Amino acid sequence: MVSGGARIMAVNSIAVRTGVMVDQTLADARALCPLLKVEDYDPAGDLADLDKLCHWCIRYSPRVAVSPPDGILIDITGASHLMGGEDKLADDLFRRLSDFGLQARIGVAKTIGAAWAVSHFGNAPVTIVDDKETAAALAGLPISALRVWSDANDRLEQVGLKNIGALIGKPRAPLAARYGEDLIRRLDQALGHRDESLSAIAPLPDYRTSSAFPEPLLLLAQIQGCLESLAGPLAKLLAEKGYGGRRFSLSLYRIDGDVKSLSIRTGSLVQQSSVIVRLIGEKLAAMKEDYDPGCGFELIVLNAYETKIVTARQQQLDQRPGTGEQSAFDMLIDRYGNRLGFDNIGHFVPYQSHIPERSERLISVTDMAPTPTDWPDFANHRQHGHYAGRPIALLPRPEPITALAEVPDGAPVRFDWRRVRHRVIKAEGPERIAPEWWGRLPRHVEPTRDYFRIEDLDGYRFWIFRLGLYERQEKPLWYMHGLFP
Amino acid sequence: MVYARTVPVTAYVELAVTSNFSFLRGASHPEELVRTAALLGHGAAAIADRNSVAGVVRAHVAAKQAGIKLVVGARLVFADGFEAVCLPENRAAYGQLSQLLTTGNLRAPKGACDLRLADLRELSAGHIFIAMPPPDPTAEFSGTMEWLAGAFPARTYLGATRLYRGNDETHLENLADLSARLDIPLVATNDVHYHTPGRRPLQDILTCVRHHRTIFNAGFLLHANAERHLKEPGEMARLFRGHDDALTRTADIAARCHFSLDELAYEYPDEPSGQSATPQRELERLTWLGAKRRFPGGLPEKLKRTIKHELALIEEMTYAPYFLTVSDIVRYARSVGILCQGRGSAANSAVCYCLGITSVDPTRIDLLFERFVSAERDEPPDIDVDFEHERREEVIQYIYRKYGRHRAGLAATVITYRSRSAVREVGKAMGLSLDLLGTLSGAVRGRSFREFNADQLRELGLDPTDPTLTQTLKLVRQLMGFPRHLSQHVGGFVITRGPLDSVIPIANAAMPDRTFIEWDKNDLDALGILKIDVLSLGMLTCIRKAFGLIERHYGTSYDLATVPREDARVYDMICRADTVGVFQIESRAQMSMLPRLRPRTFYDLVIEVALVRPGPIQGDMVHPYLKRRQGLEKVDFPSEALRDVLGKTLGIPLFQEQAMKIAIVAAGFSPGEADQLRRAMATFKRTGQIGDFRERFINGMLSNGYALDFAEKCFRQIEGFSDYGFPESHAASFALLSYVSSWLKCFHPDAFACALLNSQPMGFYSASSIVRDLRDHGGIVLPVDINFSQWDHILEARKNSGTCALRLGFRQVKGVRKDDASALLDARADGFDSIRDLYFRAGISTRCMERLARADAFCSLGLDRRDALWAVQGLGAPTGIRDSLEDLPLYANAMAHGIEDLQREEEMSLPAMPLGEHVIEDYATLKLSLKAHPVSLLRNHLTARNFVAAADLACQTPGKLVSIAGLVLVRQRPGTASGVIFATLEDETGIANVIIWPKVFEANRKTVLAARFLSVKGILQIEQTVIHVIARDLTDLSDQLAHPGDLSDPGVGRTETARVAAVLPKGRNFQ
Repeated sequence: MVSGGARIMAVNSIAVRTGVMVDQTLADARALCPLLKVEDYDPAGDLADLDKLCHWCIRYSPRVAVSPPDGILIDITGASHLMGGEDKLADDLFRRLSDFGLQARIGVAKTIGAAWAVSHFGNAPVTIVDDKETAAALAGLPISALRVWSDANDRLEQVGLKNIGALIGKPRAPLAARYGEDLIRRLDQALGHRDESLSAIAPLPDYRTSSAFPEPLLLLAQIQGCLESLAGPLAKLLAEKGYGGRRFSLSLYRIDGDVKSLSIRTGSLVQQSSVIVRLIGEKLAAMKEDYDPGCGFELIVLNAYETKIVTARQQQLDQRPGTGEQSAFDMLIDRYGNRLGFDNIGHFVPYQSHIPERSERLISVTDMAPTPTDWPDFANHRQHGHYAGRPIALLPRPEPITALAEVPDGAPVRFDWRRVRHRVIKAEGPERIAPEWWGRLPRHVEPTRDYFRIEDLDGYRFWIFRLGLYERQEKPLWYMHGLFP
Repeated sequence: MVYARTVPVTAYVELAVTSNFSFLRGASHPEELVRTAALLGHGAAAIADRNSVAGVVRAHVAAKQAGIKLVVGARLVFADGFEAVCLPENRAAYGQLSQLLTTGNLRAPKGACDLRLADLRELSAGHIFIAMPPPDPTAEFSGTMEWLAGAFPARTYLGATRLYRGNDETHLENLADLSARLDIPLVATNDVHYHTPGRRPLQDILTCVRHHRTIFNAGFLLHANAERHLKEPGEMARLFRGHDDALTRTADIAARCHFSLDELAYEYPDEPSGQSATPQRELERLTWLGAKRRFPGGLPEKLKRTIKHELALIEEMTYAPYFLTVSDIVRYARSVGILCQGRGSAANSAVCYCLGITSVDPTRIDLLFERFVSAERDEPPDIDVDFEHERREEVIQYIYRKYGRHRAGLAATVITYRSRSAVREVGKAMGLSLDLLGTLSGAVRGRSFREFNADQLRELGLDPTDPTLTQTLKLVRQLMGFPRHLSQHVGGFVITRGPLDSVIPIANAAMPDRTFIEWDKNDLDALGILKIDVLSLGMLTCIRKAFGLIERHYGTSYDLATVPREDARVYDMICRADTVGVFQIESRAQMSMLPRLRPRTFYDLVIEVALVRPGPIQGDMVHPYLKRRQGLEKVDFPSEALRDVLGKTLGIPLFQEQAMKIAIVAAGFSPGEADQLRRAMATFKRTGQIGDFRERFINGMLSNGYALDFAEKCFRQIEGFSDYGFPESHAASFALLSYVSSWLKCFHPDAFACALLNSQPMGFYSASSIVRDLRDHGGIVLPVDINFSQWDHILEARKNSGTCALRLGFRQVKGVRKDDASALLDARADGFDSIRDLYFRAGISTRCMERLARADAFCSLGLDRRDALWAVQGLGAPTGIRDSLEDLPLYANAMAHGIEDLQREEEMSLPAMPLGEHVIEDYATLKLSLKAHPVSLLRNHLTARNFVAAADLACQTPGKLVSIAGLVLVRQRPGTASGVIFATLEDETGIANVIIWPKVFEANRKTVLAARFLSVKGILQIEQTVIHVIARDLTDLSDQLAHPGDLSDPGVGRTETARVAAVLPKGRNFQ
């Protein structure tokens, strides 16, 4: 949000046709297109998606980098021949991205700068620049194609230097003095007079083996088999060099662009294929439930990371596990989690609602808060600083009872619950709790409740409530909601 | 207690009442609370808002209507969290409470109040305190209680509530123990936050807004139940069974608090009566003195009688000091050369004219002094004075100096939730998405909130059965009209004899050194407190500046009263609608009316100003008047009585006074009732309450023998006035400024344009249009130049010519600040001979120099825009920030190689700048171009395609299909024209008006709203001299401007087009 209210950050082609533009205020955009569909700007989400796509691009080359906000850089040096040349690779990439529903613009050139420039400012969606014609290809493009983020473009434009061609071969000192070294650096980078490297998105694996499948794999067993066939050569490679790895990952490339990576870590350096197959195999097996091959996997890559020369080393003096690094509780959770699945272990967290049965929630341990709940404090807070006490557990469902009580808001003097009559000797209340009215139709809003803490002749203590108020002619009914110990 | 247990149930008064003036806490209006208390049979009503008495006047008025006593108070919330309701027993105690709140307010930023317990030591008169304990009373609380009871024995109580928290019994027993231990009696309250339990959802939403939460995650911030409403005394008695004395005490306390706001008998400050015995004598002396000055040739007998009549009435009402105050303020303004003029009903007074408060000669319009001051309507007169907008602050500071901040204060304006803000706040709290919020607030845009029916919701793409949506809409309706915060009134001053803060609490405003009182205009009116409106008006600034320029360059001096009157040449100009920049009659609607109404006298102008306004347009008065004026319709009157009323406006009611008089003469209203009708008219738009007047009005007219359709028509016209009707006197004051500005434009167009530009932003037209207009009238306009320009625009004498040229000033250059310009001017002396000279002598930043270069301000050095830019850019680091000299790249270079190296930079050949680009750059930096009009660059092209220039439209055949093209100056969609859009296009020859019907607009939405350069094909309509093109096809030509003839640079890409479009004026949208 900047002054003038919300602004448009990105548009699709249909919006462009109605005149909606980037940087317009939302109000203006709505005036142009009253039925405009707006999503909140989510740069983190965009970046996450770009990152995902970037991982997918590793299929073309391991050297891939995100170029925010909307680009991906792929170093295809030495990789394009695998696809049958630069043009084939670009076409393949373009076709696959189109299949995902993405409008891509692709530039191929000998420098990052030139490729960026033609992809963003070229005339065609796919532009391939011959190495010898880099300067010529750049000449006609505007200065902004140089990736200069200062106001240099505007200032250059004002003196009539409007395209890159106007800068090529011109005296450099006056330009640098006026528009910054950055301009010259970017120009040189685009032309290849100065080096520029990309920092790859994922740490490059030290070793990797892969297999591609013209006929996509669908069955888990096939993948398991593939894992074994990849692990053997990888282990052999490591063993030959005398290296072991601490981290391994199996990347599964689905036809529709989804990439799934299964990573394992080991405490010690590993070079045995059996270990790799077993650890990753477990992960594969664990996938069973949410295994979704879609239309199948077309490429599977096994990577080894953090490799070092293997030297034999004593790990520790005794066999005592976990010396204080992890609490026993966490270890218990880990053990149960591995066995039962983490989603199947729940714990209660407080939820700020006046309605008793809504004031706690059961959530998975994986969503557990770092600091444990101070339950007495929460209960205190819930009852405005006078913790009167509520049953620790409520009945699964309030159970109807019949009660005799003074109108309008007296405590019952006796009541029948599960066919047993109870005579009340002590009562406290009512605690009046009005319904949560929001988000539901008036007829779905239940009446107000009056809760009483009750003790009967036999010393049993109950938590009961009356649903509905006499003064609002709501035909009150009584319910048992919980028992005190 | 003797009478416990036999108490009648009616003996209960709810004392802890929070209204919606405890912002974002209370969920009911003070009026609702008071009325409900009366209905429930409470012995009295009370209001005690959080550190504020902002809502008490409304409660006071409502209590009078409901016939119930009001206990005025405030709930004091101290910095340490301690809360106590404070109820003053008498006037003195109220004064001290008000001072206490002032102390707290002034300690805190706007909207907050920082009270400390120690402040209570200042209180000495009769206050009653009811301490409000927290849900779980702490030791700290009982400590404070004890201290309070020690400081205010027999006046301190402990508030007890039964809010159904589950432990009410125990809680009450604990409090009873505490009460017994400290010997502080218990008082029953319900800590009321709303008048009925039905307001709980709204109260929940207010809590969410206060905490910036949504209702879904507000959790325990919300109250658990809906019990904090006003309850019947019987119910309270049941709840507090066993504590009956706590109940009866409420009535005792209410009985003790006999303070009423009526007691704030307003004491007007003593004005020094100068050489006279009394203020009245002084006023008379000054009036006759002024009369002599106003009428040097002798006072007309009729006027003498009027003045005597007015003075007698003023004496009877003892308003003389008030007149002296205003007269003194005006005298001060004059003494320091600030132009001012009274507006509104004060212009009805000959005394005001003689005192110099107003400028409309009373011999030229009919005065209705009773509209201003009347013995029957016992309410204070309201003198509104306009001052120059740039110098009003000086007047305000004078008032503060003269009366002291402790005696003078600005009134508040209660900012209320309007439809859009209510939608936004409720929507956010209900967790609506940004998208949905946008849709909803778009649907309520610019108009009052309508009840959406299911179909309308579906049309907006919303689901009418969605509970969240329907709840949101319901809550929005409830929230609308709720006070949101207090803000300072634009200029309503209250002045008192004693300390102001003992009448009304004073609070800090957002502006530094500004304070305002907690009550607004209506509150002050209701209590009969006088106020003076010190308003600001841009045109006065312009006129004063024009007078100054004329005196300096042409040697004659004028003021508002001495500008030659009734000059036919001025009216000729007005009849031509040649009124760009003229006050009030410069809008499109006014301009299209001028050639038809053809004003020839001052009174014609008065009518013009009053006629072309939304009120009369909605009341359908314009066309009947026009027809009668043109002699196309007979002027007749339904009765002789009405002839007197409507004679001068040809039988059509145009002014508020006439509406009132019709009510009196034809419908049998008393003058007092007619005034109520006027007030109802003024607030009709807001409240929609005019209904019962309608029946009385129409029945009254029928019984006086008028026809039903005529009666209904009259009432419709009165309704049409609503917010927009002018009183005649006000129209006259404005018309005078219209005349004076027209006169300036007619005889000193150079000075007028210069003054207008120096007073920007104001008025209807952009600097570009003003400059164009001046040049069209033969004026010379010179560009901004580092060697000739000042900060302001100035006039330069021209040799062999009686007129001056207008030199544009640095203030027109985008991004150049006043201190930069002053630095440049201080160093200029005989001028700069080079860019380096400017750089080293003036010491301004390279960024600023770059802006000047972009504005092409180096021409006197022989450098055009591009050369100058290149040179300036070479001076500094790319950041444009001025480094120390040695760090400058060129200078550093020169240090190494000798100073001559500065000149020896490698040559760089820059492409020459085409004219089109110059024009675009001019617009980008100056918002106007003296070189060419952008459209002229395309003229050949347009002519080839049979486009007609704006100036040539008049020679075309009406009814013909024509094509025009121009920059969009304004798009308007007046509320009075049912969706029709009026657009004004400008080309190099002039201005063309385009009418776009809603259907055509919907089909061309994007083009109409987004185009900066628009082409329109449509039917030409010429009515007398008013020309319109009724649009059929519309095309956005903005991108054409990027490539006009000589701009076909192959390097121009899409960025260029976007830039050109961005630089051109966007056109003002519907206001």
